[in-house]
Formats: sequence, structure tokens, C-alpha cells
Amino acid sequence: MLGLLARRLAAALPTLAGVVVVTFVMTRALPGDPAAYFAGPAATREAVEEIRRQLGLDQPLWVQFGRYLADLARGDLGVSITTGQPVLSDIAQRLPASAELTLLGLLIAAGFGIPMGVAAALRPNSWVDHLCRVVATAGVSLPTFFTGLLLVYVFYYLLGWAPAPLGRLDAFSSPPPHVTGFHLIDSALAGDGETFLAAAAQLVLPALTLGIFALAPIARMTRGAMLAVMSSDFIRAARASGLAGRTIVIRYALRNALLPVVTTLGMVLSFLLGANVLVEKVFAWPGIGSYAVEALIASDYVPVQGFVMTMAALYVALNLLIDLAYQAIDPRVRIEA
Amino acid sequence: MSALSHARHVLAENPVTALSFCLFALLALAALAGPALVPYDPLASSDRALAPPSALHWFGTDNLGRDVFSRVVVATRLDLGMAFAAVALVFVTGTLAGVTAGFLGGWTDRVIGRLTDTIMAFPLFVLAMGLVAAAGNTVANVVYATAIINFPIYARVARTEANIRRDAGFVEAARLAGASTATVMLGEVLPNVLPIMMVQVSLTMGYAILNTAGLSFIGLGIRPPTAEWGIMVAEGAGYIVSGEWWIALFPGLALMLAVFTFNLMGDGLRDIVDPRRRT
Amino acid sequence: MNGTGQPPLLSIEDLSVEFGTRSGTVRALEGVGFAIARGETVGVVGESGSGKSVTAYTVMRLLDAAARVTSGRIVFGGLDLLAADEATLAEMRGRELSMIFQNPRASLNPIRRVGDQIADVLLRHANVGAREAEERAVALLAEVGIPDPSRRARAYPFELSGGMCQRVGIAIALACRPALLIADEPTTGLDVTTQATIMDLVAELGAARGMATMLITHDLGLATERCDRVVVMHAGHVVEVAETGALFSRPRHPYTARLLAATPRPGLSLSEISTIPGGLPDLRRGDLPPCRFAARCDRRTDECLTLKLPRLLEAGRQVACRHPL
Repeated sequence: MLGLLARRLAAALPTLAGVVVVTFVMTRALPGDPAAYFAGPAATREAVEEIRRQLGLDQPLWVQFGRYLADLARGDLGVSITTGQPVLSDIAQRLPASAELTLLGLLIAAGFGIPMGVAAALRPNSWVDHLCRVVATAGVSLPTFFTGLLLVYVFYYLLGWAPAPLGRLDAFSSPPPHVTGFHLIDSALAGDGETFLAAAAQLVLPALTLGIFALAPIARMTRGAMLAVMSSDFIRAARASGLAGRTIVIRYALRNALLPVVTTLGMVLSFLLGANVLVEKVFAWPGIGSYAVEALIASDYVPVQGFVMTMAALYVALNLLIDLAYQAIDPRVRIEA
Repeated sequence: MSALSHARHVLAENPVTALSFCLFALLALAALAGPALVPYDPLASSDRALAPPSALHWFGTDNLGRDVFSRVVVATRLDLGMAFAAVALVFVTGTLAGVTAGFLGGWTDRVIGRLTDTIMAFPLFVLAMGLVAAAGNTVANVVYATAIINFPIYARVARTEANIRRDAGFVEAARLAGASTATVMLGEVLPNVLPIMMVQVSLTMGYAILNTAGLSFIGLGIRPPTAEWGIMVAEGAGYIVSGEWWIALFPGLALMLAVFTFNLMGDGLRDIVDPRRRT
Repeated sequence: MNGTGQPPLLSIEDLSVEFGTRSGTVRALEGVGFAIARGETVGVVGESGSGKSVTAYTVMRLLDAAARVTSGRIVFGGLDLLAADEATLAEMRGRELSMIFQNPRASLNPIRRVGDQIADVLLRHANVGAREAEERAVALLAEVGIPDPSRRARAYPFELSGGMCQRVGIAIALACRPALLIADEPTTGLDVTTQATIMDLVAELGAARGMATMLITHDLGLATERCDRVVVMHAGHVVEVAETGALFSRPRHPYTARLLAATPRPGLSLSEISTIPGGLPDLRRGDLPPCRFAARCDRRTDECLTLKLPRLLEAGRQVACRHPL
């Protein structure tokens, strides 16, 4: 298994290399004066020249790339003009907020999407099947930011069930002692029920928004995979053995159907990480998405670059995890590899 | 069965697809004739700010007293136009690249494959953000960025199709008749690949619309006071919590309608072109 | 139907099945009837598309949603299978009647160990605990002739050869000692040597347990080798049923005779093997004649095309022909 892990890591390296090159190219080789970007809109001409010297932007490109790599190795992603902090520490501080939100969104999407897809596949042309197909089509048609706003309008303004979309905690609660940065986990660990509920209440709508968005492809894929598996020879053979319906559906069919669903997760994650940015803006969520958006608005480009880099690295790592999960489920890949 | 009668047959069987074509016609009308037909000037503010929908203002007015209905209709041209430009661009480049890669194989295939893999290593919306931020916050750059992030899927589909047809009879015949590689590729393979790529166009139009709207929602691309669905939702977002729902809702619904139409149309076109791929 | 006076184990009577498809209704089976006695091995032979597998799946009640049974009875051990509810049927399947399939590897769950798959059936029907099911599974693997069974039980289907997969399939089917085994082309996907050993295994285990077997095959030679009686099917009809020896030496239906003449046998050269002219009729047509072989038969008369198909019964044989040989 370790050998497999090492092999997969090695395979991910060219991808990471590509990411590094692209992010470098994005800020140096594209039209415009990079020094002006990094100096910010309020900079004077002297300040821009100063930045140019400081960041070595007057050096030939390959020298700049070398510096870039060296900085990356040191974990130096530059300094943000708006916060004055190193970008890396800004991102590290805000990452848990985004991670908690995205993870919860994914759990909601899978938690509803997979059973929905299974139910739709088991009862073709029933109301469940039609619902699943409508959800799947509507889900990919809805703009995430719009869904979020709709939810806020209905559940906060009209019904008053949800709290104001003002971030991770309401005005009266304070964050729990920091262990993971995930408010739900940290408050649970500290035994602080009130904070747990407050954090959960704030999480509901944004996580639901993300969940609805990711639900569509997951439900659609599960339905398709289950339909294919249920008509396969070994399912017929299992029924010929008189195995109970539940055994057949879950132990025999679903496990096989989950394989293509797991491979879809990579694509779902790509969408989720992008949708995250939009949801964070709607709900004033203090994650890395809103960090990047705030920096963009202030024409502060270093954080944006760091953000893109971080997201890409995260995405590569998550894809690796998905790949490993697939191998854990499918013995054919594991053993034959 | 001719192509047209086949298409008509599928449409008759599938009223939903027929509906999507009607909706598309409606959107096209709004995009082309909208600015001439709307009751108010989309940029003209008035003192009737934040007025709810009424007979006078069908979709209400926004915080500057502008008529939301007029703005939504006029914005159709911009939103569809941007998405269409992006898709047209990627359709041409992606198809050519994919067909070349699939037909020639070898080194070309590897290079183009590496290119698509590198693009796909990023969460696509994030990449678009980064590209627009780096290249400059203009409409043109939003179009380019949207095209770039859709490149992999076009290249892949075109490559697969070209691969399948590479060794087909009619291709062999053309080759044997002495046609050059380029002629065979462009004259024989490409026309056969086009129908499937057209389906892809309809499917990604929806995605492109969402993308450009998403980028303008966070401030990239179109700037106020221009009427565009994404920034209209952004402008209306702040008023949701105080109950003025119409400012954000109508542009959002327009977005939904447009994307939905293209998705349905894409599914319908796919059924016409290649019924084996129905889900 | 047989001489012992005991009621048959399986009795299929006047079974008709149709399928609704996009291009019309397929009358896959019409008036199919035959019986299998306890411990008997009966072969069901016919060309592809003759309805042999459809008959088998109807007995197991495993047809897909597009299928409709329009008439008939299937009585198994006194129970009317067509009238039974799903719960009763699920009890019977795997326990009283089982099936093995044409593509052995495709009939096994690809991501589950074979030992566990056998244990699943035991846990379902045999009222044993997990531990005992595991042990019994290993024992079953040994019974079907798989060497090093305790290690093999941990294997996945893709690690086993086709022949071994079929042995596993047999182990699963026989785990609860069913009274009837339906074998749907069990050796078609295997090489010739393996075919023989698999058929030997089925025969041996069947004899040891007094189990009846329905052997479905397009290979008339195989059927005559392994079966006590043979049912010949054509285009959804049963055309002849007889004891193997009698069928072989004295076929009474023109189709059977043709089939025999078309079967390669040692001693016959290729040029001596004849073919059967024409092909199976399109079963979607509403105007099918009462005898579906008539179009290809050189003994046909006008009555064959208009009058109802007769079923002649004589001394342990059935023939569905107006002008038998």
C-alpha cells in the first residue's frame, strides 16, 4: 500500500509542477506591468519602482522563476497590502473556515444525493426518479450565489428560522478554544454546547447552498451507476440465490456503483471549491474565498495569487485522496497495480 | 429518415426538448430586440427607488430607481453575448486542438494532453478568477478566461471522436486517394466530429453563462452601472436582508432560465445526434 | 410423464410469455410445457433465440420488467411459482432451486471475495452464524474441486480462471442442497477440457444429492451425453420431448432430425454436416403460423399453417407436429 502511495504521489508531481508554472506565468508573463500590480493602485511611481527592485521584477524571467521557487519552498507567498500580513499566515488562519463549510456541504450533497440516486434507480419512472432528474437538472442550472440568496430570503427574512448571514458566529458568541479551527469540532471538544449550536446555526444555510449545488452531479451519477449495475449479470445471479433485497442493493449493487461515483467526486470538488468563493461572499464567511475577493476589490494581487496557488495545491491533494479511496474500495486496481 | 424529419420525430416524442427550443427563441428575441422594446432606459435612475413590482414597474425598481424589468431584458444581450463569445472561441480552438491530437497522436497528443491536464489541475472557477485578476479586469479577459477553463472538455471530446474516426473507412479512402494529412483531417474527420461538438456547445453555454455571472458577482468583468445579471444580483444581495427581494430575484431567475434552457437543449440535441448516450 | 408414478418435481404447463419492446410485442414463449422428475437430468436444447433461457428465467421468476406471463402454470414441489409472492420466491431461490450461468466470472460480484459470496447464501438460507458460514464455504469450495480452498476463499473473482469461477458458481448454487439446479449454458464460455470436468462435477454432485438438473444448451451433443431426457425447443415452442436414446435414434419432429443432422459427431466430415435452411421467424409478427417451424420445413402442408398445433403424446414422448417422422 505504501508503494502505491509513493507511486501516486510521484504521479502528482508533474501536476503540481504545472500548477507552479501556471501561477508564475499568470503574474509575470501576462500583459500589464507586474510591479504596478504588486504595488497596488495607490502606489506612486517611486513606490512601483521600489517594488520592482524589491521583488526582482527587473531580472530576467528565469531568474525570477528561480526566486519564485525558492520563496515557495520557504513558504513565502508574499505580503498582503490590505492586511499587512504574510499571505501564507492569512490563508492558514482563514482556511479552517472554508474547509469546515466545504466539507459540510459535501457531506450534505453526498448524504442526500447518493440515497436519492439509489432510490431513483430502484424505482424507474416513479415520482422519486422524476424528482431526482428534476433536482439534477435544476441543480446544475442554479447559480450558487442565487440559491444562497434565496435561502437567506426564505429562511432568514420570511421565516426567521435562520440567523443573519453575518459569518461564522453571531454577535453574542465567541469562538471556542482553537484546536482544529473547525468551530463544530472545537466546541464539541470543549463541551461547549451553546457555541456548538451557535456555530451550527450559522453553518446551516451556507452549507445547504453548497450542498444543493453539489447534489445534482452526485445524484445523477449515482442513479446512472446504479441503473447500470442493477442490470448486470452478477446482480441477476445474486437474486437467483435468493439474497435479501437489502443485501443485494447495498452490499452488492451500491458498492460497485460507488466506484464511478467516487471518480466523479474529483469533478464535484472542482465545482465546490469554486462555488465556495461565491457562497462566502453571500454569507460574509471569513474564509479564503472572501479573502481573495476582498483582495481583488482592493486591487491587492499578491493574496489572489497565493489563493489560486493554495486552492490548486489543495485540489491536487484532494484528488490524490480520492484516488486512494478508489483504490481502497476496488481490489482489482489495488492488487493488479 | 432525413436529418430534419428525425429531429422533428425526436422533438415530437420529447415535448420538454421542444419547450427548450421555444425558450431559446424567447431568449434570442430578448437579446436581439430587447433594448429596442423595453419600457424604460436601463440606465436611467428615477426617484421611485426600491419600489416593489407593480403595473408600472413589472419587476420593481432598484436602489437607484432604475426599472428592473428593463435592466433584466437588456442584460440578456450582454450575458448571452459574453457566454457565446467564450464558447465560440473555445469551440474553434478546442475542436481543432482535440482533432489534431486525436488524429495525429504521438507528440502532438502528449503536448495537448499535458496542456489540458494542467488546466484541469485547478478548480476551474478559481483559475478563471486568477486569470482575470492577472490579465486585467476587463470584459475581454473574462471571455478569454471562460474559454480557457472550458478548453479541456472540448479538446477531450474532439480528441476521442477523432480517435474513433481515425481508422474509419472513409478516412482510409481519402488517404489512399492521395489527400494530405491536413486535408483528410479537416475535410473528412472534422465534419464528422462537428455534430457531437455542437451538442457540447449547448451543454457548456449554460456553464459559461454561470461562469461569467459568477465572476461579475464578485466584481470581475462587467462594472456598474451596466446592466448584467451577475452584478444585478450582487447589487440586490444587500437588500435581501431588508426584504426587497425583487432586485436580486428577477436577474437570478433570468440566469436560471437561460442556463436551464441551454441544458435542456443540450440534452435534446444529444438525443437527436447520438441516442446511445441518453442518461 | 414418467414411469414412477410420483408427481414431477417441476411441471411447466402451457406457459406463454411475451415481452413489450419498442418495436412490438415479442411472443417469446407459447404453450411451453414439460416436466422434470426428482433426480432427473433434463436437457433443453435449441438454437439461440429459441426461448430456452427465457423458460429458465421464468421458472426462477427472474424476468425483467418488460416481460409478461400471459398463460400457464409452473408447479415446483407442489407450489405454483407464478402465483407465489416475492417473499416466498426469495425463500425458494438458492435453497430449493438454484441456477448457474453462462458467463461465470460476470455472475460473481467482482469486488467481493468468493468465500464471502458463498457465505452470503448460507447466511441467508441456512440459519448459521458467520463463523460457521465461513467454514462451510471453505468446505464447499473443496467439494467443487478447488485446491487450497481456505486460501482461495479469500480470492476475488478476477484472480480465478473461468473454470474456477464456474466451480464457485456451482458451490454457491449447491450450498443449500437444492432439489433442482438450472444450468444455463454453463460450459459455453469455457475451453473444451474444462467443459468436461465441469459437467462431470455437476453430474457427480447431482447424483450424490439426488438433485434434478435442467441443462440448457445449444449443443445437442452435450445434451445427449449428459441428460436422461431432452426437450427440443424452436422459436418459443417445445417441439419434442423424449428420452435421450430414443430422441437420438428415432427423432420424430422434423426439426429434431435436422438438428441431429447438423450436429458434428466424431466420424462425420464437415461436408456431411447439413444445415437447416432459413432462420428463426420474427417473433414480433402478429401473424405467426401455429407451427413456427413450418416455413423452414419440407413436410409442411396448408394445414400446418392454419390449424392449431397438435401435441401428440405417446409412451413418454411429446411431439408437436402434424406430420411427425
